[in-house]
Amino acid sequence: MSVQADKAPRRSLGSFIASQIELVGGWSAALGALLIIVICLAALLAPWVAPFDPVATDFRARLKPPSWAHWMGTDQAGRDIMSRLIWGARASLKVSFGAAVIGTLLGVSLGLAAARFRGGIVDNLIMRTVDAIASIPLLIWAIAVIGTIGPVPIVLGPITLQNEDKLLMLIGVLYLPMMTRVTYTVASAEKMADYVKARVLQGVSQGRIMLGDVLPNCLSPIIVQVTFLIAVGLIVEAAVSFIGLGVQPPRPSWGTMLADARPYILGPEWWLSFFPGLVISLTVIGFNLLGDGLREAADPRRMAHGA
Amino acid sequence: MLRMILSRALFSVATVVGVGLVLFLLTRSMGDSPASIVLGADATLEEIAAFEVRHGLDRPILVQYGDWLARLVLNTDLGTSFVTGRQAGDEVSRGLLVTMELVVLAFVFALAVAIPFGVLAALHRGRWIDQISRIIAVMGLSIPGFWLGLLLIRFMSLELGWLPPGGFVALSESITGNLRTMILPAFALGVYQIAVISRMMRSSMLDVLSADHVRTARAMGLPGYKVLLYALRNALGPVVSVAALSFGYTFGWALIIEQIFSIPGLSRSLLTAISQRDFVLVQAVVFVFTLTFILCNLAADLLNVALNPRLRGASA
Amino acid sequence: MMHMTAKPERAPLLSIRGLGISFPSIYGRVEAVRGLDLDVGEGEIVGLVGESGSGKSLTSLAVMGLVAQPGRVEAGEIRLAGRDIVGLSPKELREMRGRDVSMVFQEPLTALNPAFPIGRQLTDVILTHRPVSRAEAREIAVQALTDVGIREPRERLGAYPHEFSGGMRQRVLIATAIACEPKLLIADEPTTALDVTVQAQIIDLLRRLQAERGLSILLISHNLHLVSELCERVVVMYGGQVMESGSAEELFLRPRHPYSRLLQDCVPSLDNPRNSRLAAIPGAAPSPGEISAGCPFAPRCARATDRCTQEMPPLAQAGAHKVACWHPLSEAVAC
Repeated sequence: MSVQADKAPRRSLGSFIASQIELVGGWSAALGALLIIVICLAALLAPWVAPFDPVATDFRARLKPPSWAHWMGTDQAGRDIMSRLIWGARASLKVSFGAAVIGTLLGVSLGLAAARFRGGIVDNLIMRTVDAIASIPLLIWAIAVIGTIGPVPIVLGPITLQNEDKLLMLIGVLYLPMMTRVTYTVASAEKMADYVKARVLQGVSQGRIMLGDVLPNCLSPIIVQVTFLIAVGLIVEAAVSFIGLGVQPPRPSWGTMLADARPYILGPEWWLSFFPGLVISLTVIGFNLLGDGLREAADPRRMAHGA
Repeated sequence: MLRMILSRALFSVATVVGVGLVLFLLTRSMGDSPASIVLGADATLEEIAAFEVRHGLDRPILVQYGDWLARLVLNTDLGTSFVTGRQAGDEVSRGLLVTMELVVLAFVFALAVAIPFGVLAALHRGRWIDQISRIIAVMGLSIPGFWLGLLLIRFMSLELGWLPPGGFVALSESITGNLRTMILPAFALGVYQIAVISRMMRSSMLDVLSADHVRTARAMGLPGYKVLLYALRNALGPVVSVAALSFGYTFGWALIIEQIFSIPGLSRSLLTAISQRDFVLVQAVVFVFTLTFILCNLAADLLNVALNPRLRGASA
Repeated sequence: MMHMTAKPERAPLLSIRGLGISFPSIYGRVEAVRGLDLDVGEGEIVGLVGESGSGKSLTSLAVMGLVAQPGRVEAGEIRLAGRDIVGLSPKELREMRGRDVSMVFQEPLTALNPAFPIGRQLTDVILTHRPVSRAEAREIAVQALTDVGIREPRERLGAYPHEFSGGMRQRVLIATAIACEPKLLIADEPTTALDVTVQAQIIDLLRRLQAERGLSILLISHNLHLVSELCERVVVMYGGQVMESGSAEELFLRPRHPYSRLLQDCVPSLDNPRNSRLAAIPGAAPSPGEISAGCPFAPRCARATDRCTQEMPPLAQAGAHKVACWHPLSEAVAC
């Protein structure tokens, strides 16, 4: 350690920001990250940030255009749109993040397992099953399954599964193939690397090598894939809620708000459909930009461009 | 190569059968019993039992599935709805044609825009056309198609009055009428594909343009347009795969778009079936969707092999 | 090896004078090639030797008019059959390539387009430069393939590149390069990626083409054995400039430039005593940003003086070769 430990240099705020921007892969990615952070914070702090109660109806104030009192106007039941959007972020983000988590946990585990036993029966079995799941059109099955089960809460002992929880799990399972494929491809390639051979020579078990050495090196593409999955999940949730099979009223979600706006599409109440869609778009743009930036930053080819 | 095609096709068939089984199990176990639908809530147990025997609903699930599958393959019979009494196949084929038209129009539109855009963006990398195509790509990927649809209806129909806000005119009635009702939905459906395909085209083109064989072609004095055509041929491989896959995905999104524009395609059949608890129809529609999707995936694989001679098998 | 007798005073086929190529780097715009003079006579095989980064490949690209942005030819003239090609328009350059001068590169595995049969790639090049019909182009292609030693050429026109081995692919590339009968062929490390046995075949092929067609060849390589096998004259480059040039025999037996001498020493030979150390030149080749005003080799040269670091020695006649050195090795020293 440095002799001058007590005089550690202080980095300026500017250089710190610059290094963070470079980390995510450039200005547009940083912008995306910013969008995401703002929206996630708003969702988390909903009780303190939202000016109105999202479910309280007030029929005197129905269908009011944007004004100083209601920045984004009110809906057909007099509820403040902005508050509903902020609260709705919770539901929408919960579904997309939750699905991504499930898909990632399952997918990465399966991918690592398949790579670990590469070439054998386990590998074949896993990848074939995953291929079969990949053959299922996500949206249609989500709609069909939830439609068939019925959009009602399921009570399993002490846990009540709301409809959006069902949706979350379903999407998560349908995400499986993508995560498994990515993990499998990267892990298989990493397996050939010299550092893995070195570990084998040290007598470390295959399982530990997979988890301890290979996995950390796979994280880059996995993280990139996760951001894109979240982006897709947001739109899927909005679509499913839009046709009434997602988040159930009166809980707000971005998709249900668009559904509420449908009867008024040809009327003068433009704010009903505009703001929810705008927020969805901005959030998804944020994730896409971030994912793009991360992918560029992690891409070894990028270094070759300087040559 | 033939072996590869056969094994892929076989796998697809197996997947279809397997997925169909899952679907079957799902609808049979989760859905309401058809007996109670048809006979009413106060049917006696004997009546229900008799009903089930009559319609073969008391047999083991696998047997029922085998029967359904056999009927499908041999008679193209997707079953008869317990709710409407009509053939599921009729309903599905009517809706399928309409949905097909929408999806194909969107796809053609997307290709026509995305491929030139992607190529130009690659050729003029870093310059304004590249920047614009990137912005459009990000927006196309992020803006939900159905929201775009809503905005288009508002803008095009309400504000400008150029196009109808929805509804459908069959091709047989009037071609222009049909196209007028299809333009907005096809556009809304195609924007996502434009984003995906143009990005792939750009990145694939960039890869190819920096390849050794392009350098050779230039070194041999081939004219610019020929070098470009060569490169395009190499670059199309991954693009075609992606395009075929996104074509399959579009069927799902067409569902939502149809709802917005009130187009009587498969989505109407599905959603009506769901709300009426008509599980024979639900199964039929989902099966057809899945089959189409799997076929698109298979086509993507095959096209990949066709365009890349190296994948065809025996080599030195 | 052939003795160089005095050639009649004809203008050389390729004549480069004072070539300068620059490209941007983190040090600003640097000259990767400076003040380069090079000649290739008609029907002559000349070797261009140097380490990676010496500028030899860039020089060859300049002759083809293929120096890509952001690189730029800053100065000098390149005369091919009397015509200065530095100022040519892109269209004229394109017509020149393949017809007057051709090039084959190092990696035969990736140099051919994998999506098209070789016959198509061959005929396309022929059709570009010669006003013949498609059927005639096919005949020319078959002839070219025969000339390079591909068996059953007619049947193989429809074959794809991946169906050929590395050595055969290189032959196909050479066939494509000579199909329009250029006067000069530039071969940039044509055998580096190939087996030793295959290397010998390609060398034989090149020699044969020179004998049968009077083809001039500029062979670029870092492989001294190869160069000594095939070339009549050799040019040694270092740090973007010519250090020495002369007949192959003279240069290898009696090198005058300290760098040439050290290059020779670096090549291990079966004649060396068993436990002798591998000779290496201390230091490393300069990166383009480090080039200074003096001789580029000065930092690593045991004979360097102050003058060497300040002033670049001109390429001057010294006995049978030309040397760019203030303190060339004496004639008496033999290898």
